Amino acid sequence: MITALISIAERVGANRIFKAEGRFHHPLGNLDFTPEAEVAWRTDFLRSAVQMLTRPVSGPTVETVARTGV
Amino acid sequence: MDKPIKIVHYLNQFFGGIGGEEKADAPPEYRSAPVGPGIALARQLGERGSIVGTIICGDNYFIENEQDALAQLLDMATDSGADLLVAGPAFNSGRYGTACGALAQAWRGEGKPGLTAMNVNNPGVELYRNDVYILPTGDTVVSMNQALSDLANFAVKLAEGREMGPAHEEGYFPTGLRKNLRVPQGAAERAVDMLVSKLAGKSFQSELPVPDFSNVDPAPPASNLASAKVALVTESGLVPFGNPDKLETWNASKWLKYSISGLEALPQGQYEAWHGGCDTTGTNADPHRAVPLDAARALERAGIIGGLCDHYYVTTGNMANIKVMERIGREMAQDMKAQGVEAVILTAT
Repeated sequence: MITALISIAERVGANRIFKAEGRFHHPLGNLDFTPEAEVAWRTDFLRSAVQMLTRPVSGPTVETVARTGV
Repeated sequence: MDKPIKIVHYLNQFFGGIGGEEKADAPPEYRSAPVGPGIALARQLGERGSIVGTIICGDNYFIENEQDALAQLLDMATDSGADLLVAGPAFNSGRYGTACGALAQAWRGEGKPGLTAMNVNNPGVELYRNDVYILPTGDTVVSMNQALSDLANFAVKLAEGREMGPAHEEGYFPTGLRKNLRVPQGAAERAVDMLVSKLAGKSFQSELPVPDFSNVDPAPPASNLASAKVALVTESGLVPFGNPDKLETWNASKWLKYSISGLEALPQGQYEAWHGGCDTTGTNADPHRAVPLDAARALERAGIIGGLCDHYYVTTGNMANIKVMERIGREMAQDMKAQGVEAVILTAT
């Protein structure tokens, strides 16, 4: 799950939580970039996020881009 | 109170004096007098009311023939001429508690007040507390006297037909019903009072208890992401422009899926977010901020994921009913499984 609302995601029992960098209104948007740069940023971000799908977790776990080191 | 209330009392085969587990198949029967705990309940009621009849059914009979048992018991209860139905107390007996809840609910469905009592751990509490008044009891028959006293007092209140106060004041399991109240202190003052109490280590009553969610077992990791079919899911309410299938903006009752087969990206201006809980401007300007199809296609081309499911899945997550969302999650997962989806990217606002 990609969201900016980490505490709610943890409470409802989501197990793989990836912290969105965008605003909570649009977790995969970054209005500071030009459209082209935003697509590149989003692709990098998603590449990091999907790696979480390959790792076992034992309960609600939060990762961020920094944690996975893009 | 004008006149004494007339109560019909429900018991299982054990408390009804028919027998133990070996008699759990006993079909419904009627007695025109209080039985077992009903005798003590009548004593607790005193002048305030009487037990005009007792309906008894075996635990297994009820569970195995629920519709038939309910119909028979309701007929008997109606024929007794009672104003109000009391079921139990059932303490921690799961079958008995479930029957008590189902019967009180069915009785209430006929427009008549019903109540029951059981232990917080009885599954009947979660099944029926939204529909009927359930009073808490201890976990065994040791707490019988207190339970009967509580039932008698509550039955009298219920029969008076006055508006029931909040659960923590009246002593029933919360029904989930919220009522608007006018109170002398504004919200800011009440919030600060609560904070001060909390900091001082004193007890305080939250006005919005946070629901207790159960844990979800984590899914095992995708065995090979590079060959896995991945689905895009969102609770952002992103739908085709004009919302053709009428997704709710809050308190959603349904989920939808829309084809992305053959699409490299979501055309701008053709989608919009129907979500009453956040600012949708950014998503409306570029729908990939909620459903990242452009980025996911790039990962697909790069061989990082095997492929994308032919649809994206959507509902609206704000102000949602947890039970409805659990159903929606189950239904979406079943649909995805049928299509061989192995992993999901869920974007949540």
